[in-house]
Amino acid sequence: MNPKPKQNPLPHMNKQHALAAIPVQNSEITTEVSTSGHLIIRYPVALRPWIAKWLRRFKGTSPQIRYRKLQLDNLGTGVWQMIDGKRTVQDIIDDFAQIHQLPAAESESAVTQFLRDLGKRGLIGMRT
Amino acid sequence: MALTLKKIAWNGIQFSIPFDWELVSIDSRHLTFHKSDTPAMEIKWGPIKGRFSHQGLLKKLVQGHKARPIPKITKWQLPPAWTQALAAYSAQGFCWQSDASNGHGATLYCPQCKNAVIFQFFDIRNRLTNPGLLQFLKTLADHRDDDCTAWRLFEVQALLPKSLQLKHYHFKPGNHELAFKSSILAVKLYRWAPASALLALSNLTAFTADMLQLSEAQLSFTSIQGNPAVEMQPPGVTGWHRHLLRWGIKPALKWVRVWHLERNNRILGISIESKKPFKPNQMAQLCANFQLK
Repeated sequence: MNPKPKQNPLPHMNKQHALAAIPVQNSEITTEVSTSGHLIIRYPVALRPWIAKWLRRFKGTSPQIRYRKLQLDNLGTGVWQMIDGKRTVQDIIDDFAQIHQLPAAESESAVTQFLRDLGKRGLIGMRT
Repeated sequence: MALTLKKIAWNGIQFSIPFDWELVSIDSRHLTFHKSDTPAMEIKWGPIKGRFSHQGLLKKLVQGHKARPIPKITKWQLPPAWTQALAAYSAQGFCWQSDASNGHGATLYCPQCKNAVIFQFFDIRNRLTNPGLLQFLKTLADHRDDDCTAWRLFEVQALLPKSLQLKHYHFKPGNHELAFKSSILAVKLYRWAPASALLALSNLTAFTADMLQLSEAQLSFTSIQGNPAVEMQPPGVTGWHRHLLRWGIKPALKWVRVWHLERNNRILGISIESKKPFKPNQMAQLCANFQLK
């Protein structure tokens, strides 16, 4: 049995470092605008091996990648458009607070939660 | 340079703190504040049944402490400026020291309202008479004389009858909600933001119906203090129905008002449910006492 490869521990990052990171959009995604003016993001999802195997057996094909769509609301669309590869997380929080007249803490909470969700889906990465 | 303070009022207690302290955890009778992401102060309070002892309260606190090892807590002589600021209470100081941190605080007992308060500041050994700390001590109050309870956290402030007890609350981004209950009434206060985004594809009637699970037909357009508003008025109750209402388990009458503060980009709302017919000015009183800070 092969031993499980040892994973490198994640670098320690405090809040200041995290807020200074620059979110970058995944280059493999495509976007379109819905009739309501909201942004629809089309992003690739790697299939789980057992699903690929199942598809191969029953459908005769096994696509390695499938695409999913995510529709953002107007707040999400606004934040997505701020992810330009130049603004830091803190810049986006400040701009979001200013545009929507929100307190800094509430803007921070909303933006960081949204960026975390985008990160989990692989739609953005963070450049430090 | 003048010290900038912010007022906090929550479940019977009120005080002022330096503006740069951020509230990081809220419980019904426990608040914790950080300054620049490091713990600054925590406060707990509650009513005391029977005899009060400072030592007993500290012991109870230590027993409930989850982090291990527990640092040794010792009695501490309060500085004169603290004693003067806390003259209305029976006060006793305590302090503790661990490898990484230290704490100085006091247990307080108010003989008038029979409430106990325990608070501690973190890492202030060289700043015991810092103006921000002294302002907290001077403004700390665990009861009011007007039979009301003040609520003031984040953006919202409200003054409600003491009979209304906090049932649940949440302060999610964009949506703050506070729910209260007495034997007759159930009151909910709402704050939504940013209004421009929430109403971009909708209107206030549709938004209210969606958020509070009402039918748009139940809502009528009105105005509150010059702001556009929608309202669902309670049905008129007469005769035997009036008496039957009191026997129901749940409040049967509902009154809702939601208004849009265009200048602040916020939406505020109040929902009242009652077992008794409402007083004509009941909603107006609540609206007047529920505002943005």
